[in-house]
Amino acid sequence: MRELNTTQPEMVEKERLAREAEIARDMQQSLLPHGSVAAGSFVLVGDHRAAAEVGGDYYDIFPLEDGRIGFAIADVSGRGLGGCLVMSMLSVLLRALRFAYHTPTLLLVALEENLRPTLPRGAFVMMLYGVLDPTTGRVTFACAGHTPVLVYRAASRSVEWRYGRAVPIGAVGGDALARMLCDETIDLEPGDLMVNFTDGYNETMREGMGDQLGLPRMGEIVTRHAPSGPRAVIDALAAAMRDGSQSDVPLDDETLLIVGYTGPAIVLRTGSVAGSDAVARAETAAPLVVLAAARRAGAPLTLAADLAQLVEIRGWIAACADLRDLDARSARLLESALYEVSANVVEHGYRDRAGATFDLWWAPGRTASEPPTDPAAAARERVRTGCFVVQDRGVPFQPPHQSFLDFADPRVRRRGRGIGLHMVRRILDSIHYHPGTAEGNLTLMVFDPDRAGQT
Amino acid sequence: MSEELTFEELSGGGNVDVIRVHGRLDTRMSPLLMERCIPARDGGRNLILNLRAVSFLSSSGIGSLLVLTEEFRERGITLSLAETSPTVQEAIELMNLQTFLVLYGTEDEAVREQAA
Repeated sequence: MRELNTTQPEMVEKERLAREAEIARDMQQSLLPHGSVAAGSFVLVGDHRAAAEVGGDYYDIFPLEDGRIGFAIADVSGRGLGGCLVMSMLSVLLRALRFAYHTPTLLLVALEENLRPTLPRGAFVMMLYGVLDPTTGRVTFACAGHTPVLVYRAASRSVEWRYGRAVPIGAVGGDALARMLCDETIDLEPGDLMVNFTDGYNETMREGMGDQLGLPRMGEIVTRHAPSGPRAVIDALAAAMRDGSQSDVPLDDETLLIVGYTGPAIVLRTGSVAGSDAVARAETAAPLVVLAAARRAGAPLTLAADLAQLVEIRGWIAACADLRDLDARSARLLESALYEVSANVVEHGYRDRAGATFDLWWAPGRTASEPPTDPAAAARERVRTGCFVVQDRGVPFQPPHQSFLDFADPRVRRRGRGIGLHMVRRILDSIHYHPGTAEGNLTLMVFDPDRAGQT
Repeated sequence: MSEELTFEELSGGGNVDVIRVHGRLDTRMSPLLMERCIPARDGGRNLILNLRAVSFLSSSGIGSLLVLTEEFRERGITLSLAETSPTVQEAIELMNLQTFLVLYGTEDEAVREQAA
């Protein structure tokens, strides 16, 4: 009885703490944006992995005036509900003040002025705030005691580090922050990434490894995976943190916010059917929108990055309700085109990555109100209004400059290579390649059986 | 039709060899075809590939056929394609390769002409 009396208050306290941790975790999650934000040729992708004991990591992405995009990443000192309350105030203040201050420095100084009266003693906020102008590719940012910024340069396949010199928000009294803080700029070129992260990534001791991931190793990982886009970088860094660990739950909050210049689509073949909905969609729609539509309503085929697996494409076409009634010639041509694109991914994108997979999607388009009664004709109608998508996370493909091969040249016949792209250009009506999107490399293709083989 | 690539090798009589190709002539399998054709090429013999049972032809397969055709031609001998399956015929027509390949409707016809 005595034992029960002494343990009951402990149990109550334990339950209270668990409940508090749950509230803090819910609060933290509710403040973070979901998904990625696309702006012209740029994409902003965030990722947050919460520790068991909730930390104070936070990030946000939001539109500003004139099409610019504001983004922030912060690490609030302290854990649990206290840290979350500060984070909550920070979030509200940031969104309230974002239009009132025209430079990142002024905004961070204003944030400190507004936060300081309510910050608990000893609490501070390490924060970076940036503004992307998608029309120029320039990022203007200010860094208040936050971890350094990693910039991946696609042209040189190298990384640069940008260190801030200012103190964290609320760490030092007076106007120290205003005196130390200044705006800096990064001009992003196609393929470049600006990688922002909290110290959960570079300073936490990795469970089972007994070391920190550290900045040099982060740079190596980003350099290796940046060609596959921001999402591949996020996955690779998260995997490196878990390497050797038995648990998926981090020891400290891990937060990443990446700004990527994905570059314009590479047009491998322009659609020849004026007014075709499918071609217009593949040519003008944001690739992530098409991918999302494919996920909602399409038919997927996940393929191992192994040439032997590509025989499955034939069975997939035959099993797909929208495609299975295609006449034999159309089905064979479609298989050839999808095989060539997939073989390119396997051979060039994934050559050193055994065990990798990629996805092939059929995304249906708008169906006619009165489809043909003949099943084959109806299938041809359906296939020309939809879109095929190959999604891979391999090394992006570098298309050759020449458009079509000239087989009258004996050197071309003697070489016998580079025919795959020529072949898919002859079969497909439109091919748009989007390397390094937030969802990896996306190839959007439209197939019109009646126009296959026509130049 | 089989998904693997198999070969049936026959003598066409005289200076002619025949190889009947079965299965997928894709990126993975094309090097096997190249290997099978080397003895005839290096032995200075005309070769007929019967492609009636080829169920798939990738760009690598087409590249192999073009390279072999040129290599045979450079040695003063001929690589011919006979009884092309629908998928092979479509690939050849798709890329307008008819004039650069030696094509026959039947194996017998190819043997008669090449042995002459």
